[in-house]
Amino acid sequence: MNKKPKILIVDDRPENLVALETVLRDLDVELIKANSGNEALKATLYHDFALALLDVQMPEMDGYELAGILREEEKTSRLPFIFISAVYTDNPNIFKGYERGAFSFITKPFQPEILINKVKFFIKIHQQELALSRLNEDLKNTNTNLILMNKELESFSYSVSHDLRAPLRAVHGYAKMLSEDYSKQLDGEANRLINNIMSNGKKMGQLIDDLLEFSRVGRKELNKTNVSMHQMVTNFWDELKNECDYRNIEFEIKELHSVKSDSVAIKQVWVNLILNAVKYTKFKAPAVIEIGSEVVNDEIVFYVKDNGAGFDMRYADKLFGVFQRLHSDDEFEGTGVGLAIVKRIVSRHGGRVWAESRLNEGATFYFSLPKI
Amino acid sequence: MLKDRGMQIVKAENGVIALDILNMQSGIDLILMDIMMPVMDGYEAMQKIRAQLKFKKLPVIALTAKAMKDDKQKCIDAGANDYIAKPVDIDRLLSLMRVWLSK
Repeated sequence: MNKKPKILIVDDRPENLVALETVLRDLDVELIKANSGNEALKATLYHDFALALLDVQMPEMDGYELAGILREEEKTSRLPFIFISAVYTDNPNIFKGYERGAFSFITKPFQPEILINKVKFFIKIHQQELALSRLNEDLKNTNTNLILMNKELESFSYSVSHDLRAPLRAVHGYAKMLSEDYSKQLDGEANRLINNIMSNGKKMGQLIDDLLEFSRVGRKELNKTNVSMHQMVTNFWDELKNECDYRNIEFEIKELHSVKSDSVAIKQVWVNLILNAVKYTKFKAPAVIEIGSEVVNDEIVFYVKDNGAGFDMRYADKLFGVFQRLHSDDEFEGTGVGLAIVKRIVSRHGGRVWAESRLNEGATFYFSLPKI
Repeated sequence: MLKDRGMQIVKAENGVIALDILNMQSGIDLILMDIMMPVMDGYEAMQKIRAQLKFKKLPVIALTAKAMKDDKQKCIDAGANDYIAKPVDIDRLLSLMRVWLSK
């Protein structure tokens, strides 16, 4: 890849070309000569140039015209030029349309050092541009690979979770048969062990179900409609409150903005956040849960606030990861997938999730969705 | 008894008929296979079923006579997922079916 950078030099007079060649001979570059605009254009078909030195005064096609044509061509549209002219011009109109690539101007008779320095400078820029575009290309490839690998991983974890279910059900089912049919023949300790098998089997089943759900959430197409969040949350609470009528819960729904979103997925977000709030307030009487939303810039921010167990803010970034739990199973049961599902759904809608809390004083979970 | 619990039953008198039915009728979720049958016994039928790729995962529960101890291992070797001794304890059978009918 370490080819010498190529420089196109265009002048109608052979003696000028020779003079340029002499000046530039110590540079580590390859010089391609052309004695007319047409020849120069032809040369661009066969070579990739790092720089062009253009004589301005030439018959038929002058340096400016040539530069204009080079700018139009895709291949040379970013090729830098140095114009060489016996006449100095500061007329900005002449250079109009050249802005897509770098260019410079030098008057004859020129000082060799100045030309050499300019050429060096342009070559350096050219090499940096090449390196940058190569890096960009690499980055693009890496990105494509990552997307592909992510998809593979996704389908892998789906089939793994799916295939784990059947043998697990066998484990659980046989343990149940043991406890139902043989519990009288077995002593207390044996029965306790069998119960352990069953309860762990059940827990693993829940984990697998949650993982499958997490995987599904990432793959399902979103079907966006205008969703009345207020309606959705109110309906869900109406269903839920019968189940927790033994609890003392003050549940307040403030104004909730409607949002264009996938109603099935967004319902899952609310269900997860509200069930969490209910769960983590179980030691509080009354439990206070407040739900609301507000418009912040071009987002609508929704929140679920509770006065429950809360969490240590130092671990806030762990909350939304799969299987990340900040509380023990004995205190608050759960698999640690719910908030990961919430995050995935919200991200797929172009929104964000975050949480604020103080240990034992409650937590507020936020999610934002873009306002359309 | 199984019909009362919402299952659809397809009957076959021996292994040959069972294989014919399996290949003609789709949607069979589980097989209860008696071992002692005329024409083609349960072992042979199970081996023939397992030999077909599409039935690799089809649950088969074998029905064995209580006395024959070696037969139980032979059932598993022939491809049964599990076995149950005759006379069949219906609750045990239902538990087994629950385990193997999982999808």
